[in-house]
Order: sequence, then structure tokens, then C-alpha cells
Amino acid sequence: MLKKILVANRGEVAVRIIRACQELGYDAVAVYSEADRMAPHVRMAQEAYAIGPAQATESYLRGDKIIEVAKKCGADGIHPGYGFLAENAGFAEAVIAAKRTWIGPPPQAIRLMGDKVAAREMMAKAGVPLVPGTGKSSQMTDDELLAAAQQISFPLLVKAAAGGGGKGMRNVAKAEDLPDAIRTARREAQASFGDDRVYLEKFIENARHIEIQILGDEHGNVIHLGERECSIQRRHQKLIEEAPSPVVDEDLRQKMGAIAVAAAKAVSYCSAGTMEFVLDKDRKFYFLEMNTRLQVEHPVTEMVTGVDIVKEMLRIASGRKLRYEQSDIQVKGWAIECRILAEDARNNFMPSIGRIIGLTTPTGPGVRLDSGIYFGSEVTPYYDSMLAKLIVLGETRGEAILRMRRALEEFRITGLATTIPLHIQLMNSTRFQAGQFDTGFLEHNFSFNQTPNLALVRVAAVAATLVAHQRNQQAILLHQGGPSPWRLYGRREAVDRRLR
Amino acid sequence: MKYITTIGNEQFTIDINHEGQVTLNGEIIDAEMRQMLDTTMYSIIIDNKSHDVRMNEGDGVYIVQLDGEIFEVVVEDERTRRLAGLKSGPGVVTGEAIIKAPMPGVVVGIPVKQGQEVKQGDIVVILESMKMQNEFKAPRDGTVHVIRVAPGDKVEQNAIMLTIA
Repeated sequence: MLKKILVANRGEVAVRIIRACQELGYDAVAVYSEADRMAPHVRMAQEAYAIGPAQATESYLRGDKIIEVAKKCGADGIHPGYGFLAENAGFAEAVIAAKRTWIGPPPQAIRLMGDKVAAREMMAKAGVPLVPGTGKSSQMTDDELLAAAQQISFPLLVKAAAGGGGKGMRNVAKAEDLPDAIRTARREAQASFGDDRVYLEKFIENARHIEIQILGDEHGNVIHLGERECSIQRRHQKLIEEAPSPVVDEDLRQKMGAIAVAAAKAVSYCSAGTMEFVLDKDRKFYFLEMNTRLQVEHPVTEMVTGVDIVKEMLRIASGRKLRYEQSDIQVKGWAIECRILAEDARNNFMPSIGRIIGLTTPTGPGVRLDSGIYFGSEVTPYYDSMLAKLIVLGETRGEAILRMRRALEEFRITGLATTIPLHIQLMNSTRFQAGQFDTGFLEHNFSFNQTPNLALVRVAAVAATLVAHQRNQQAILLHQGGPSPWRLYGRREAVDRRLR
Repeated sequence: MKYITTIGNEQFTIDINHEGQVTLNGEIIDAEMRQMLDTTMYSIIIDNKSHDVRMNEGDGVYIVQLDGEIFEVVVEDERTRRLAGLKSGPGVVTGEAIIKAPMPGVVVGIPVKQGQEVKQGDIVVILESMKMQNEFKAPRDGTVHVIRVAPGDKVEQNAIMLTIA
């Protein structure tokens, strides 16, 4: 039976896990780097241990130090969150060897799914559809390739077996263009890699990224919690996720869910996991990879199914049976998550570092904020740029979008550039509203340039000018040695507050 | 006191008299603003329209957050403008736009030349930091005035890389 959980992470996910521990009555133990002494996870946990300098390689990635802390404080379980050590099979084994409970999937499942080639073979055996193609290792003649192309169907990609970086790659729309494409791809591959072998793979047009959440226990029970739509991405990083997906109906959900469950059973999976798929415009789906951990976007699934995934992970890790059967899982309402990053969307997503000198967080009906920041916190270059996740639940997708826009407008972070303005414009975009997007949408079909209305611009001008004017007056008064009107005003406000 | 306030390519003339009465582009408006104890937070009511504003100042630019929008506002008072000896006439955007490095990095490209005219949004400096190439754009139309760095230069945080006049 678990009593004390060490959380081997930081930021919003550490806070998320500590909350689950507290609801279950477990003590939570935080570990922290020198940069995170004042971070929320450190202050929220019952115990906190410093494990090293700011660099993650010297702190949050030091599995040895973390296990040492677990032994010292008597933590009986370790939850890795996501990122850092979450998909490190060696660390999972070390935790188990130290006689602590690993709150995650079995190490062999982590290792198998981490090897993409082995994972694809395993998935194919379990009956999971893969992107059709001839396979990378093939040594096929031109005639064999032409014959295989008919089976794969067009459009397709000719790829160099030794390739990478787009060299020796051709996108072919129709059969008559294939011989030329194979010839030029071979020539390019020979010149670039000294190897003219090429292979074919179906080109998935207008692909959407859809994933299925899985939960499994140690007793062989596996269920799925429906899908998440994660097609709003840039540089292959997800920015907005939602559940359900605007293009997945009940029939497709059950089909994808059943395959994900079968695949998880094939690798004796337990704990939480996610099967990622691409969905083409004819609603055919193909396996991409499996993430053997808690996922950043898990809250949208929690919102629409009512299942607390982190608490389930803790229960499963202590050997208990799943509390749900597949028929208990109903998707109700619509949830959307926006990742609030310290990045300047107007400046090519340039990371933004600095101190948060003002913070207003959104609240109200249907709003959930999973955050790792506070008023006064310093965003450093040592860790990723995610500040918080804003999640909303609406009765319908339309209500969820309007609610998200309202919550984004309430959310003010001062001192840094964030992705909040971009998210607002995405919520305003008619194509997003209509659910018409794929993984290329943000980079190719969306422009971040809606102009604010002139009335708002005027308010901003007046507000800034009033502050500048006060500064001027203050400078004059300061020169004369009297207290500034701002200071007097602040005192009066403080007195008022006390009297109220 | 009279102020020239600039947001992007919009310019406002704002006068605030001794009684605190505000005139915007020649029109008297009823503007009242209060600062909260949380000092970057303000409540402003203009002609009975209420707005919550978050504002901070950096390098003479006010960053104003309003209804999810973010505005970079430059406020100049008339005296300072005159002292700066700017020759441009009224209605012309003035004041130098300064492109600084927000974090340490290495300059990998400067696609403009000194004296070159640029439009708002044109890329003027490319800086590599945190393993990413970051493009810096001209915040407004103007002329490249000073280039202080060259490709390959290492720059410190807040180093001035380029100015646009």
C-alpha cells in the first residue's frame, strides 16, 4: 500500500501529481533544483529535497540522486510525470530495484515502445494499421517498386533508404510520374549517401493527429478513454488539444479504441498510456507511436470522461483493479486545452525569459488551470517554455471555444511574452471554429495578424499616457522631496483594505 | 502637458492639464485610472467604459495588456521631443526603435544594410539562442539607422543590435 509519493518532476505536472496525492491522502515529496526553491511544487508538497544545480542534467535528470532521496525520506512510490525520466526504462528498473513502486508502465513496455522499429513490428503483429509502404530495408528494382506502388496507392513518397533531411525524397501524385521520381531520387540518394536504394511510403494528405488514451491494470484489464484531437501544432509541438475530435464519430472512436486496447494488451501494458495515430482525409488511421507515460494533454480526457487519470495511475500502481469497465466510459461535453508557453508568437515563437511581475488567472464556470507559475516567478532558460495549461469544458464545441476565449482574455501574464494572444486569434479563426484543420494548419493556413479594433488601441494609448504623466509628476515631486502621489495612493488603498 | 503616443503606425496626441482633464486628439474625454496594490494592474474607466489593464514599462516602451491583446506603446512628451531636436513634422512617427537581444546568443544574419528603408514586419536581425534561430522584425516602418553587430558576434542579454529611425 502506498503512503508517500516522490514526484520526480517540476512545473505544472508536479503540481498536478501532488494534488492527486493529497486527494488520496498520500504524502507528497518534492525534489527541486537550485532554480526552483520557490516553485509551487516545492511549497505544496509535504517534504522537499534539493537535488542539485539548475541544469536538468544535474538535477531532474539525476535518477541516482532521486532514488537516494526516496530511500532517505521513506517514499514508497515514484511518479515521473512526463519528460525528464518518464520514458527512461533504466530509471524505472532502478526504482524497482530500490524496492520502490514505479508509478508508470512496466520497464519492458517503455523499452519496446521506445525502439520505433521494434514497436512498428510489434504493432503490425497485433493488427494495428501502419502507414502503407514497402518497408525501409527493401532492395527493390524499379519494376518491383512500380508494381508495389499500385498496392500502396497514390499520392506516395519515394524515400532514400539511407536518407534524412528530405534528400532523395520525392512526392508523387500519379503513376505516370513515378519512374522519373524513382530515377531522380536514386541519383540524389547515390550522390548524398553513396547508396541508391529507395523505398515507397504512402503520403498522408491533410493528416490529423488523433490519439487514444489507454488505462490498464496489473490484472490484464485495459480500457480506452476515447480520443484527443492534437492537430494544432507547430514544429511538431502540440499547441491546442481537444476531446473529443470534431472528425471522430462513435463508430470510428470504438474502432480506434478497440485497436489501441488490443495493442496495449499485446505488450502487457499497464498504467496510463497513449497510442498516437495519423488520420487521413478518408478517415483511415495509421499508428504513429505509443507514449508510455502520462501525457501533457491528459486533462481534456479527464474533463469529458470524469476519470482522474493521475489518481488511477496511483491506484493501479498499488496493485488495485481498474475501477471502470469500457461500458462505464462515456464522453460528455467538449474540452479544449491551450498550452500557455513563454514564447513570442509574433516573433517566430522566440522563447521569452524573465520575471512574472503581474498575474491574473482565469476562473469561473468550466475553467481549469494547471499552472507551474506564480506572481514573482522567474522563467529561466533551463527548462521548457510551458508556463501553464488552460483547460475548459463546455456543453458543446461552440460553447467550449467561446469559454476558452473568455478565459484567455481573463488570463494576464505580465513581464513575458506568451502564446495567449495567438490562442485568442486561433479561437477567432473561422476554420478552427469549423473544425477544418490538419497538422499543417498553423504553419501554412493561419496568419497571426488579426488587427485589434481602434477603440482598444485608444484605451491602451490613454492608459500608457496616464502612467507616463504620473511618472513625470512623480519625478518633479521627488525632486522636491515630498512623497509621491503613487505612494500616497498606495498607502490609502492599503488602509482602505484594512478597514473593509 | 502634451504627449505624443505611438502604437505601431497609429499616433495620438494626448493632453493632460493641471486638473487631470484628458484631451485625446483634440476631444475632451472622461478618463479615470487607478492602480491596484498589485502594481502592474490598473482599472481605467473612459467615458464609463471599464477596462482592466496590466501594464509594465521597459526601455521607454509601455507593454499594455487589454482584453487579451498586447500593445507596445511609446509615450513622448512634447518637451522631450523638442529637446531631442527631431526635425520631422507632426503626424510622422518618430523616435528610434531599438532592437535588443532578449537573451544571450549568437548573431547569425543581418538581412538589411545601414540606411535601408524597412517596412514593419521586415526581418532585420537573426539571432541564435536556446538552440533556436530567432528572427527579429522591424516594429514599424523606418530606416535602418545603426547596426551594432555582425554575423558571428556573440551578444549579451539586452545588448542593442540595431536601431530603426
